[in-house]
Parts: sequence; C-alpha cells; structure tokens
Amino acid sequence: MDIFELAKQAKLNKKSTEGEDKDTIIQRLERKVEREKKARITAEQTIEESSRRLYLSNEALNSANKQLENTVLELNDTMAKLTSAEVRSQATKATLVVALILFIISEFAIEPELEATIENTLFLQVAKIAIFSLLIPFEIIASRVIESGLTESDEINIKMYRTLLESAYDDGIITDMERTILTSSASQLGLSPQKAAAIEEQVKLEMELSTS
Amino acid sequence: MKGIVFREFIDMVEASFGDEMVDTIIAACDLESGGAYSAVGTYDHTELVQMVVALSGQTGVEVPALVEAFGTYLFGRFLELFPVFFNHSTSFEFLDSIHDVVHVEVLKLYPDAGLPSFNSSISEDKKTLHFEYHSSRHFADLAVGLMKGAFAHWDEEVTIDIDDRTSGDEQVVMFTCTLQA
Repeated sequence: MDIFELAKQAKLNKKSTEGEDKDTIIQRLERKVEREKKARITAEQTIEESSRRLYLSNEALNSANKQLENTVLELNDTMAKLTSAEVRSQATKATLVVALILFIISEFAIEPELEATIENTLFLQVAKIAIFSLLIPFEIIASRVIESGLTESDEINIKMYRTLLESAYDDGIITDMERTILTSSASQLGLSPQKAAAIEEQVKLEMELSTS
Repeated sequence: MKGIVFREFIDMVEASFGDEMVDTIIAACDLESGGAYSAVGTYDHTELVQMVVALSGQTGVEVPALVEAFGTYLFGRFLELFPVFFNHSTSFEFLDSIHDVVHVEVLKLYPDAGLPSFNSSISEDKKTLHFEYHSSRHFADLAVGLMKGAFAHWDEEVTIDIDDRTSGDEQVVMFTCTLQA
C-alpha cells in the first residue's frame, strides 16, 4: 500500500503546525538545520576524498602511460635494429657468394693462363696482385647493389608494419596509444606517411572482409 | 547502505507523516549518524531498520508494510532521478536488467556498495518472471515494494508469489511474478 494511504489509515497524516508552541517548532527546526548541516559536511568530505582519489589515480595512469610510451620507443628501436641486422646478414651472404665466384674465376680461369704465358716469377706475382686488386671494386659494387636492393624493397618493413596494424585492429578500434605506436613505428621502419596510410587501408579492408 | 536510501526515507516520512514525525523517530533511535544523511555518504543499514521500527511504533503500522511502501516510494524517486535506467517496454525487462546493468553502474561509482544480488529469468512466453533476491540485509519487503512500483509504472497487473528460501545468514527469497492477462 502507498505510504500516504498508510499515513491516512494511521490517522497521523501530516499535521498542521498551527496552534503548536512556537518554541517547540523553533527547537525542532533547529535540530533539522543541525542535521542538514552535518549531512552537508559529510557530503563535502566525501567529495574531497573522491576528487583526491581521482587525482591520484589519474597521476598513476599518466605515469603508467609514460612508461608504456618508453617501452614502445625501446621496442621500435629494437625492431629497427633487428631489421637492419637482417638486411646486413642477407647482404653479407650475397657478398660472400660474389667473392667466391670472383675467386674461382681468378684462380681457375685467369691464373693458369698467366702462368702459361709469363715465365718470370716476380712478374707473375705482380700480375696476380694486379688482377686481384682489379676484382676488389667489383666485389664492393656488387655488395652495395645487393644491400640497397634489399633495403629499398622494404618487404621486411612492410611485413612488420602489417603485423602491428593487424594486432592494433584486432579489437576493431585504434586507441590513442595504438595510434602513437603506429605512427612512430612507421617512421622507424622508414615508411612514408602516405605509404603507411595505404598499408593501413589495405589491412583494414582485409580485416573487415574476414569478419563480415 | 547508500545515503540516498536514507535521504529518501527521511523525505518520505516528512512528506507523509510530517516534520514532527521525522524529529520524533530520530530522537527515539540511537543513530550513529545522528539522523544526518547525505546522498553521497554510506551508512550502516541497521540505522534504517531502527528508524522503520520507530516509525512503526509511532504509527501502529506494521514494519513489513512500511518497508514495502517505502520500496514503492523509492521506485518513483529512482524513476525521477535516474530515468536512463527505465527505458524498457515492460517491468519484467526492467527487473531483469537490474543485476546486470543497473547494479554494474552503481558499482562503477561505488565499488564498496553492498548491493543485494538478483538471479532473474523471464519465461519464454514473457508471462512469468523468476526473481531471486539474495541479501545479508534482509530487505526483501523493500524489493517487493520496488517491484510493485515497477508494475504500477508500466501499468501492468502482476501477482507476486513469495517463497522464502533463507537457510543461512543471507536472506534468500524467490519471487515468482505472473502477468495477468
């Protein structure tokens, strides 16, 4: 039953204060004011505590954010190092192959020819050194060409950036933090903003296709 | 218990029985808070129990009837204060959302709030709601009042069957609400 119905039934409906002793009314109102004041102070204290807690947790969040950003930068750095190490190791392998080929040519094709035509031992040695020296620039050029070819192809960098994008888009949205990571990663990986945006569009399309 | 419940109780007593009654029952109880409640504070729920008992003593109305009436009053107030939680098309849908939606929101703001828990389910034909109340505070009557407030708000005629399953300290009550055609 409704509280007002109950009050009516109890014949204790809101009484008129008429005819009541003024002092009694004043005392009652004073007690009420006292309670209201106390309640207000409690409310104010609660708000003070809450805003302090909010401030502190905000601070904690900020510092955690900074730490995360640092970790991201470190990770990017490591990633860039790994990428260049990978490129270098491939270049070294290719250079070694070139050097081996050149060695075989000089050892088995040119030298027997020289030994057959030149009688003087000293002159023969000089000729050998000369031929060897002539081959060095070839080696250098070959290794340069291979190295730049690998770097320009960007394949490793693009693959890494795609992996990052895929994990960022995993939950469907890019948070501010993820955006920071992506932007700094793109520049670390040597991808232009246009190139990065193009890769992102592609990844987004693929992700949408696979979910729908 | 959250201060808002106490504030609303005081306001209700003031509106229905008058200023004097508020003063009388607060004086009759031994309240740690002195009867000064702020909506953002948290108070011992036994203070509410004490005041209801005192109000019952003063008015001669049984405690369960008072608690239930307070529940219905509280529903109306919650509706006014937090309309965002009441955009359901039936009372059953609303009641079914309390545990998973409303209380989750309350806990976000007040992680220490000791809320009752509800296990609810609506039958397939949407005519029956099973609503199980669990609380250490023994305010199942308040829940009844709130439910009645909800049925009145959605203008539905619903009968409530009450099955008290309490076996330990926690009060467990199964309400079976049946929508009348």
